[in-house]
Amino acid sequence: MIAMGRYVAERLFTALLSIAGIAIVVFFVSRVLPGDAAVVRAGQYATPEQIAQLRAQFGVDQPVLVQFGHYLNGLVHFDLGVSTRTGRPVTAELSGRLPATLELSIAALLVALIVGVPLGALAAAKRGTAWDGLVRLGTIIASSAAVFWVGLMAIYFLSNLLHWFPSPVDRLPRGIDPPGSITGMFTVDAVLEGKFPLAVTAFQQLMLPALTLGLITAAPVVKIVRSAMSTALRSDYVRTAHAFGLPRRTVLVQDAFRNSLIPVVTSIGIVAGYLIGGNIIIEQLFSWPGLGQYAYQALQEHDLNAVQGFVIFVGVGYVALNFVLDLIYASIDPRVELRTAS
Amino acid sequence: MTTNTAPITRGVLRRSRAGARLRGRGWLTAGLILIGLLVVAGLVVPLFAESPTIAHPADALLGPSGSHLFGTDRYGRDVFIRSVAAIRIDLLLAIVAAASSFVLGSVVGAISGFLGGYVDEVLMRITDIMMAFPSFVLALIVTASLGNSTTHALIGVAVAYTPYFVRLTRARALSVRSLDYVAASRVAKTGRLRIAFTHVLPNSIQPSLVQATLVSAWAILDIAGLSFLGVGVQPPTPEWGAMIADGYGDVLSGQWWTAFFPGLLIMIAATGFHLIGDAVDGGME
Repeated sequence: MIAMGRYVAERLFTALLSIAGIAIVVFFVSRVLPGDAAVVRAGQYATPEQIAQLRAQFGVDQPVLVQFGHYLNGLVHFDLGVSTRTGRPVTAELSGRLPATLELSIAALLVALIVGVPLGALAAAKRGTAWDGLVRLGTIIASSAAVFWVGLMAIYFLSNLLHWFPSPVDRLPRGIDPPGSITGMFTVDAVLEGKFPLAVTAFQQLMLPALTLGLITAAPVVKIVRSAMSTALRSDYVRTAHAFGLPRRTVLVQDAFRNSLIPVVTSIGIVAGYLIGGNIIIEQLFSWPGLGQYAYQALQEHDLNAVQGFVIFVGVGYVALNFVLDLIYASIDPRVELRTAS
Repeated sequence: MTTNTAPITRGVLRRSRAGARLRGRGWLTAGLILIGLLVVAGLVVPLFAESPTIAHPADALLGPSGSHLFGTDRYGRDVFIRSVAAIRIDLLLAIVAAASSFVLGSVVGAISGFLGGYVDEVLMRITDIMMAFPSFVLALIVTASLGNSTTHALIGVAVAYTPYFVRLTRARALSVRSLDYVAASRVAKTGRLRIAFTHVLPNSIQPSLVQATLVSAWAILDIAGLSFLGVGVQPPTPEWGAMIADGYGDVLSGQWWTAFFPGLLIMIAATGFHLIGDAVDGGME
């Protein structure tokens, strides 16, 4: 137990160090941004005085170190500044859009796991056979497809042509009111409020982007599960189980498969990376009002604070996720604890 | 019972090893053929075709046919000619991006691993921070910060993948530096940087070479993704991602071929590099 406490403290310290590093790097890197938000905002016919006034308003006329002080002070108070594009606080805008992205990402993650885990296990169990080859070839092709291409073709063929899915307009079709915001995830909220038809409508809008993102993200899941289960199958305990004469199926499921799920937990960190990267494109394609769409629009209009805010959000979210996954990993695999304690 | 299971296990192992080797070779060949075909098409076809940027408004949005294999886009440009002309640009950008991150990452990794101490500490923290971002997000931020252009997309992708090579080379460098020939060099009073470059680096880049083929595949997708979002290669230059962005509206109104074929070529190119990377990786296992 003491070892576990020490492990948590160590991991927490590393995580905080990374977050501090991200904050510092993001600030100084974003000063490289050549576009001037004040010039963009002031428009084509602005006088130099108007631009200077806007620069003062945005605080970009002050020395870099003074700006850095304001920035750090803001960060500590969860204040990411004001978007130069919309004039609203970046923190509020990002947290307002977070549920849309979370809903899409969680749905895509579920698709990826439901498709990826069985396929990876199958490939490992039938390692070296045609099944294995087929799964690996499928994985390679899936990870070679551009997510925006798959999405666009899915929209045309499955939605426009076959009408299997609704048009990719937003999280809900026009004219339909969203449910109250308990979690901000429409499908979940609608169910919680007992509005089942609304939940179905929201789910239908969610399906195509989630399937697109999820199927492409399944590729890394297949790879990780296959390699983890192959290792488990080569292990001494599986050989022992075979030697005891246990049925092949029992050994495969109880020993090999269950043990190979441990690496899957940490692999969610890798998969989350794919999801965040894919989100920027998928949200753009499906008019999904999440963080990815926000970041893209902010980048296009040199909205410094909004870009900074997004990058910090992603960086901190990623570090936090990995911290939590490390803890889960340590609690299900006792060897991790022993290793750090010694 | 025990006498029964032992041969089975051995049989399984033998079959999987033979299978892996066979598949490795087959996949390597398939990957090389795919990339080879693309390179030949990209070099030869443009010699016999008209410029990929000339518009023919009268032939706009024609479906695939004998005279226009992949159809035409909204400006009446032949999608086949443009898709094939894009091979040069996309493959070149992806390979240069992968090679740049390979060289930069390997040098930094070798120095970091071999020197150790503060240098290593600082370089590793920077690498960690970079790896806290998904590579496409990092590439997008760097590219958009520098300004939308082909060169900046190249830099963005190269920067995004450098940390992978730093980590790989550093890990190898740590084990190489304790080997006898490095110790011998030290005894002979060879400079530390000289040892890093002449002994440690060449002996620790092997895993990075495998990684480089995989990074080439990812770079194809990232370059196209950046151009699709409008921050990479700019139209009217024929580039797969930019062509798909260009055909976006037309696809929704039914002219699917404007984006379908460029995307298919992205998939073929990335599959080619993936097959090579996977085969080489499996061979080293």
